[in-house]
Amino acid sequence: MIGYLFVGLFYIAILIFVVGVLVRIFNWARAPVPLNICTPLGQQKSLDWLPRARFDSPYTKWETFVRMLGEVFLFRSLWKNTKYYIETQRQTATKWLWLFAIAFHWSLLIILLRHIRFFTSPIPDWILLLQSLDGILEVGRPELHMVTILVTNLTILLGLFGLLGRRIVGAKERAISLPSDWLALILIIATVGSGIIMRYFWAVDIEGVKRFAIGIVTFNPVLPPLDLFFLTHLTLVSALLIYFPFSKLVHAAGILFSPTRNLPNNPRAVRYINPWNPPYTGISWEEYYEMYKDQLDEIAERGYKVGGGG
Amino acid sequence: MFEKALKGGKLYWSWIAFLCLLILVGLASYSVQWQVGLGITGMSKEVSWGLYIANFTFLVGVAASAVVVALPTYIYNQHKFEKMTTLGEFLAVAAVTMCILFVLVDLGRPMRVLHVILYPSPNSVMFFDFIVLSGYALWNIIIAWYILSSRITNTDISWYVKVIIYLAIPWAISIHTVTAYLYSGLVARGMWMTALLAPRFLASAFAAGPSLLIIAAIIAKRYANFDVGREAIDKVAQIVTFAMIVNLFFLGCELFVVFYSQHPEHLAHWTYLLFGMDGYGKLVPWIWASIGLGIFAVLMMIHPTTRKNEQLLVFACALIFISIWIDKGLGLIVPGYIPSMVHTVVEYWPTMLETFIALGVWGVGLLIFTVLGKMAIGVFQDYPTEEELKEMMEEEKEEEVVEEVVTAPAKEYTCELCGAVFTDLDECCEHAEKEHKIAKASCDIVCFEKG
Repeated sequence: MIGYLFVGLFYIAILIFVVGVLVRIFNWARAPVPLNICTPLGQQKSLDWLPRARFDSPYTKWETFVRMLGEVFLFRSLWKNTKYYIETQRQTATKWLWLFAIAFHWSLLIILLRHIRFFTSPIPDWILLLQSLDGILEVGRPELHMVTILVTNLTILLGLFGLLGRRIVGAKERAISLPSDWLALILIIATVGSGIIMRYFWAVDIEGVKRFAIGIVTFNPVLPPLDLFFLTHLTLVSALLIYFPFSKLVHAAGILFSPTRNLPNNPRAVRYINPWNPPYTGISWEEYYEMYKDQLDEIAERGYKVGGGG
Repeated sequence: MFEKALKGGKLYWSWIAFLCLLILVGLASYSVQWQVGLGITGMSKEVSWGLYIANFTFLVGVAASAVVVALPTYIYNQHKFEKMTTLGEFLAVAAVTMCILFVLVDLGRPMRVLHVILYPSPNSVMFFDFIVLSGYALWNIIIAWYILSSRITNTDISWYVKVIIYLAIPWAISIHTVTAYLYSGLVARGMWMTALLAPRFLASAFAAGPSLLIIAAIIAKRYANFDVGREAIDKVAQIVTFAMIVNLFFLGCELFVVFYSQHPEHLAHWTYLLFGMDGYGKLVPWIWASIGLGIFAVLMMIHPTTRKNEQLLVFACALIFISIWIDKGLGLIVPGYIPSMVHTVVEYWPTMLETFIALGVWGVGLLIFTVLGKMAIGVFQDYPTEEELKEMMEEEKEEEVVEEVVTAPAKEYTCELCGAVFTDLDECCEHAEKEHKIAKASCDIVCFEKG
């Protein structure tokens, strides 16, 4: 009976996630970007002899695309993070945020891809390949029982606890941390933790889990195995899915719609006009001449050239 | 900071490309080893440590030698060696990385590497080697990073970094000592079972590592316009000289004990190495070359005229580096197994794939050293300290003074407006102010140098 609750919860969570993210994306896509507010990280295209930062300050669409790739896959902005020393007015690179962020996000991506194996049958080959590459380490007694250690499980913990540690140890980070920042981190840590416990310490009915997962994607729901850690994991994932569209986690989609990143830095070459500016009505030279006739004539008398067109 | 490594000329990038090629070849070869196993190497039941462990032993020495340059900087507060020290620390990082990679490629089942930490055996020297090596890598990364950071921010190094610096010095000695204990504790291997092994390792390390450092420093001076200072190079060259002499002396002690005592267990290995045995003697030309090169290089290093000549110094350092590489690698690890414990001679020679894998690991190490070194050079050049700035200013001033002394009599100035000739710019300016009412500050619009 309680199984139905979890099936319902999971479907509702997926529904909220999909609809919520679509609504957010729709709102971003609809939101006007009246002016070019690209925030470049380098010298923009200028005179030919000035060396410019091609991808940090993109000029063409192609360069902007490359910049977005760097942003999404390499976290270029975080890499540029610096610490400022007031006494000596110098700044130096601090890469901790970048290190922990990239460790966490890449691990998460690989872990999510590995989860496809629960939702497909047969499992695609590339998922198995990914799984075997990820599980390159193994521990245990060879003659008894070998356990595959997934590298991403280690790196995601490193990333998450690093990110959490930054907020705890760093005074400035602690000061600017909001409850939502803590919530997101702790929710993800709990989700990952319950998954890791299931993988290494708490044997779950893996067939039951797979039946449940396939039932979910084929809209032919099967009751989940009533296992403490599996249900905890499921609940936490549902909570994350529900929380996702309303929180800062939605930056996963938001980065693509961020006008500071997805616009080329070309406002010196291309004119951007705010569409809802009041219509501009200029005046012709004749009207202007009529307005300042006396003064203009006086100037013309002194031998200066006065005239329209030019 | 890292961005500095991404700016370089054609030479820099072609060097990087070459190293990447080496790494790719190594990776391709390693994929064969991954599938087939250690069978693709030349190692056998009799000789179970080959090129990989030989290189590992040698590189532990290179890594340990960073301490040689760290010592004077921080204990005697000699900041002239700071640049050399940073280079040395990055060299240590690269060398330790290579060490770890060489051990990894030597593992038949590298996927079980976590067992070292999960099931530690404190009575195994390997376990301690793992700890000291990874610790040493960490300390050096931290130290070098914070030295560069403090250079950029113009602040003092934090106290905890200083603690790590002091910790790293005995640590460096320990990594090579522990590595020597790996061998010298083995009862059944006569060649290695000598108390002299650890001191010999240290002596050769303090010759090989700084030699590489000198070569790197002179390359940086030639091609990157980065001068670590004549004094620093000279000091390190002296250290190399002493260490190499001590190293050769230790070798002599070893040879005396072996050949005078005629202890059969020890004698057999050395006889095989130096003269060959039962018609087998693959290593004989190598070890004699090593000894010959070593002695020749020491003679070059002892004499100040050759030591102070940059090109000859690089040449001598390269000889020492090669000599010790042969001595530590082919001449120490491999003959320890030959003849085998049942007194048969089974020779070892690395296979093609094995060599490629080793070259790939060297590629990784050199790439790390190049990139980190380039970064350090960039930081040092962009953020000179106040003392260095003063020195640079003084140098410029001196140059100016020299110019004036030489050229002043030949200079003549003319006033463009009236054609009057003066020997001094000031006179011309005064004239311009008086006669033409042109402010002294802007007299350069009328006073020009003649000719």
